[in-house]
Amino acid sequence: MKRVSWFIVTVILLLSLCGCGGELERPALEDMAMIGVMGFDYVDREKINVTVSVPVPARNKETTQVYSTNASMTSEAMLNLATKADRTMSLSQLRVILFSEEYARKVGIGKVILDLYRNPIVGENVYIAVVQGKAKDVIKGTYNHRPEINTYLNSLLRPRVETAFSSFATIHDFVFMMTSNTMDPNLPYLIHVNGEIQIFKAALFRVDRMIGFYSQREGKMVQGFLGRERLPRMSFEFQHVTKTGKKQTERVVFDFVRAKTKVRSEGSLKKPVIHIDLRVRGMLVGYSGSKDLEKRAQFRTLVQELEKRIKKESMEMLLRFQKQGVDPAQLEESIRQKYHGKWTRETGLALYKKAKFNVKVHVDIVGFGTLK
Amino acid sequence: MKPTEWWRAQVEAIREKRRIGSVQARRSEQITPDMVKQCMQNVDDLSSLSLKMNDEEVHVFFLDTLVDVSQIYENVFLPLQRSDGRDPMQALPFSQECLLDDMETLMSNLLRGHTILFFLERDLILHVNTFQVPHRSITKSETEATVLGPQDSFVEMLEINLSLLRRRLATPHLKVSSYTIGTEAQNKIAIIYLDNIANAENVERVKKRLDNVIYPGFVGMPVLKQMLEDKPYSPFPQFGLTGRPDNATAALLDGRIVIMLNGSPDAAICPTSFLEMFSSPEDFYNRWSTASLLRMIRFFGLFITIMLTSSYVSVLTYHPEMLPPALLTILSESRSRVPFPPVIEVLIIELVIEILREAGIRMPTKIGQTIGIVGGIVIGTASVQAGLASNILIVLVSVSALLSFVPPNFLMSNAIRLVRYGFILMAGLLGMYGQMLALAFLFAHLLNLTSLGTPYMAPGVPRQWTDLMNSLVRAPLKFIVNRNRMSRAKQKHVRPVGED
Amino acid sequence: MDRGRIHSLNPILVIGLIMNTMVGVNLLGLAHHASKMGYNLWWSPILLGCIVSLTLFPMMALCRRYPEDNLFRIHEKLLGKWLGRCFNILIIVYAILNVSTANEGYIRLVQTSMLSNQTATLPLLGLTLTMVYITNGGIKLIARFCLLTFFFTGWMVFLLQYGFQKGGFTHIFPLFNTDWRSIAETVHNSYASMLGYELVLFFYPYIQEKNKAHKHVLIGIWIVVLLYVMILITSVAYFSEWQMDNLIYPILNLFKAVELSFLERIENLGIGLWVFLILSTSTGYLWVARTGLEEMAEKTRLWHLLLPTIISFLFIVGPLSVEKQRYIYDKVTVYIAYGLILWPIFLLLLHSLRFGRGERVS
Repeated sequence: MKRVSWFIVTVILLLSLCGCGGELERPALEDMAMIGVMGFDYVDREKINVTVSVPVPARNKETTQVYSTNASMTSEAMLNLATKADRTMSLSQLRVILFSEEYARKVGIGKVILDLYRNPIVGENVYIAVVQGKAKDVIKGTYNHRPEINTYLNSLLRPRVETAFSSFATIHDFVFMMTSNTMDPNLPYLIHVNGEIQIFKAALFRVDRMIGFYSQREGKMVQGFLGRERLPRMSFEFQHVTKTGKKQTERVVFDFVRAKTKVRSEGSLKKPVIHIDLRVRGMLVGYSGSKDLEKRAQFRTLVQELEKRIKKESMEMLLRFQKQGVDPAQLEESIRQKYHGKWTRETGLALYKKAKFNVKVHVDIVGFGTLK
Repeated sequence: MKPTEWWRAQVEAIREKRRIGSVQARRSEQITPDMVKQCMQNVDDLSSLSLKMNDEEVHVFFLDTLVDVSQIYENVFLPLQRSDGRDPMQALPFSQECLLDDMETLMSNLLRGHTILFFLERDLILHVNTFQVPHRSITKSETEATVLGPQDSFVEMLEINLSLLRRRLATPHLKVSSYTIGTEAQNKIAIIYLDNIANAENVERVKKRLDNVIYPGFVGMPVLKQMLEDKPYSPFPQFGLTGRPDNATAALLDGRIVIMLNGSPDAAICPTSFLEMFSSPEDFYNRWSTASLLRMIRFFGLFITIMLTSSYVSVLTYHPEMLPPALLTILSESRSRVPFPPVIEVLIIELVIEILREAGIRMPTKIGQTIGIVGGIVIGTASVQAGLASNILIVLVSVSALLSFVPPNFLMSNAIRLVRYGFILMAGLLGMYGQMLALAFLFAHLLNLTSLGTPYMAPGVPRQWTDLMNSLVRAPLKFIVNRNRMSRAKQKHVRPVGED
Repeated sequence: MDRGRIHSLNPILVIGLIMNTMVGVNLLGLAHHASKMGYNLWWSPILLGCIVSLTLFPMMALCRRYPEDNLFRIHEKLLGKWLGRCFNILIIVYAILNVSTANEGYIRLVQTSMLSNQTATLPLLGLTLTMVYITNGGIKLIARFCLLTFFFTGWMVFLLQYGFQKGGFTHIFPLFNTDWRSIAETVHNSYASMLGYELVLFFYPYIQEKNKAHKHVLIGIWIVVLLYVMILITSVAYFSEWQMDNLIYPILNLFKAVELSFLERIENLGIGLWVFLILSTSTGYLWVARTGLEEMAEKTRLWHLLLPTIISFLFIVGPLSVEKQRYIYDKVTVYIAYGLILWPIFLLLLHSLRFGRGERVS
């Protein structure tokens, strides 16, 4: 009797395993349309136009499918798109999100970003950028001698030293910048000309709305203040008048090996003073001028000129930002560290506007190539 | 009588016989040559001679399949003839007297290749060991081959195997206690240990387990080993199995117990641990650095072999987001024409590999290699070309198949291959979570196992810190000062501590 | 295997057991639970550790008075058979609830993050079966499993560096920008993540070195505190206050921050490995429930193990709605836990009334 009952139990268990058969027949990789790039364009205040691009696996030749729809939410757009595609749409391989400038300025990108941030399928390392014109055109565009659009955009927006003048914001970074209460977010700003995409400027945001730009050169210094250690190269131009009265231009291209910034605030909360101590170490990769760099005195002068120039430029930039009431360099953080009580963005901005800056620059040139 | 009751009665009878011992076995009347003939009816290889020797009638019995007749002539008949009717015991110095009424011992001696001599007039029965059979010569080990070190391996004769060990351990402490088990076959086994090192409790435990074994006969050590192990239902071997005398010697010196069976060219080592299944005697022949590297490769190879193909399944089915873009392109290209879901695809290819392996064992060596190459390359390439499997999978399956052969212990590598299917199915059902669940189950199972009462996962669950010196790494010999805690040796230290 | 009262837990196993019964499902949302303190939450585990260490004293004092008895027997000895059994049933219910808490919280996370279009039944069934298998091996197997879990999941601490490097360490300043009210709320909300050490009341009889047991338990607790502080400092560096307040599973997002060149989205691996931590917690509690039933029935049967398992399983997949379940897990379980943690003080008083102040060897 006991044996029979065990046998029956085993048979029932084995039969119930057949229910798992369905699980084994799930759609696999090739049945899914992996969205690589999503673009959001402005239609009206309620509606957005969502464009997605899906790479199609094939031997030898890479192709891309592009789908587009109008909807009021990302998830709703996904529903619409799913009925258009021949495979199951999946956001699991999403790499890049593009916003048109119009949408970023008029509506704000927070709603879309948070919708994607909520979705556990979407990864954190998805790059966000703002494009001039329409995101749809960028995704649908054809680019000469480039890999297909998903790979192209992903590798373009991947952080590199050369393009490190904007924060390469992933979804997490953007949500962090948006909610940190100490800074204004910035994103790379792309333009689309002559069959090429270029990271042109850095777009500046107030919470989630785009409010303006700043240039590459300013962006480099902002990144330095934000604490990035490897900064892109910068070129400097010095005008000299030689003893003979001839005007001479000295050009220096400076390659940052390592930048280190300390930002701290001082003084009462009524009159905060922000000390910025920028220590950079680098190489001269390009130099055209008359100085003999092996001579200690002349070398010293060059260093001092560089220090003075960086200080001047950054002071000018900071004062301009302060006047506009924007803080992409997260200088408020230094005030927050000493602030007791409830911290909000308003307190931060008010204190920031009152603050005085004190920039110290220290340049250390470790090499100037093999030519003296 | 129900079958179970009948069986119980049988077992009781066997136990009873063992307890009394053969000396006191049922005494019959005095043995006559006719009784022997009666017993050995229809045994055609029995030679029964009746000789007149020095005016005395001598009945001689031997099994001509177990003896060399010329040797009997030289060692038995010639000395007897020359003795001129003196005491045969003196003429045959290696002979032993049989009890006149103990039929059982007499028969067992006869069946072991002894020659039985009946001196009817003197009321004397003698037996002389004339066992001489052809045997396989000592060859290289096939399953546990090494590049360096001794190359000999055990053969199918217990005497030769014991001699291989004795040659290495010239100490009176090397104890060999022989047993006879197998109710029909009367197999001879030997429990071998160094009594000044091995733990007495362990020896007792082995003897006790052997006492409980009731089985008609053993054709090989692996069969007996399964009966002695702590958890017979587990797929993992809990006793070590080796065909190399150097391995067995090292185990003896560490205080383990070695069990050998006549007719089987391997020795069981107990207690042992999971980690030891991944160590080879060559680890001590190599420099410590190389040995450590190889050990780690073997051990992590285990994880790779169970995780590799199952990860393919779970990543493709449940977590495509885990693939970096470059890999994603390659994978989706190669998968684009495959008509099966990944689980089925993996199972098919894994089974093909298993079939190739199994066929390779059966096939004659000369064509075996050719078929192996043809099967491997042709089937692999063709199935990728035909779009039945993705080429990445072929790579993964081959790597994991190779890795599954890395453990020096054959039974362990078989167990791992079996376990792998569980992982693949779990990956198909529950993705990465299923794999980790299976891993947790596997570890819980391994932690639950014991080998002769000591934890199988030692020193993973540490019992003594110095065990780690000879575990995943093989430290320089200078650091290996203690015997493994697992063997609970009487002498804890290998050599005096604090001296160089 | 080791049934009966064998002193089988050596110091390392005790430390491992304490650590891994504490670390479990609640760590997944620790930064979220403690977010009332804002950026100051990183030192809240130290506070919790102090409270835990304080409440440990009466527990160990009680255990020392009854070195060969677990709490179930102490109840029967101190409160009499009838009343003792009533409390024993309450403890068994508490243990079963804790099993369900750990399993449910984890399975929901697995369902949302890894197996997005599947029901919870099959993953839960797998988890439950594994849990039963481990618990069937007794406290020694659980302890060994805990130790293995520590080595197997401990390396994940190194993954924190990715989050830490991306974030700003300076977020921890100002150091004490908080008030008593939010501290109290944080302690209450995140105390669940310290639960697990009360199991020492049940496995104390199995400890080998009883005179040093207190020290070993404390070592386990403070290693956990250190771990929590490390994770919370990384969270503080990586997240904004808003994110910590709004993300339900901050650990999941910390895993997402890891970038490896050959494998992306490491959180699938990490959350998968978390099953070890869940199992090491739930098996501990399941073992308590089993021991309780055994003590009451005064014999060992397999259904003593299966009954609590089935109850906890049905609790999760049964007809109870998710909100009711959450209420029970987050509120009822925690309040019973508070009671259980303070209970030894009362028992000690009772003991001193009945048997005098001295330590008694029974």
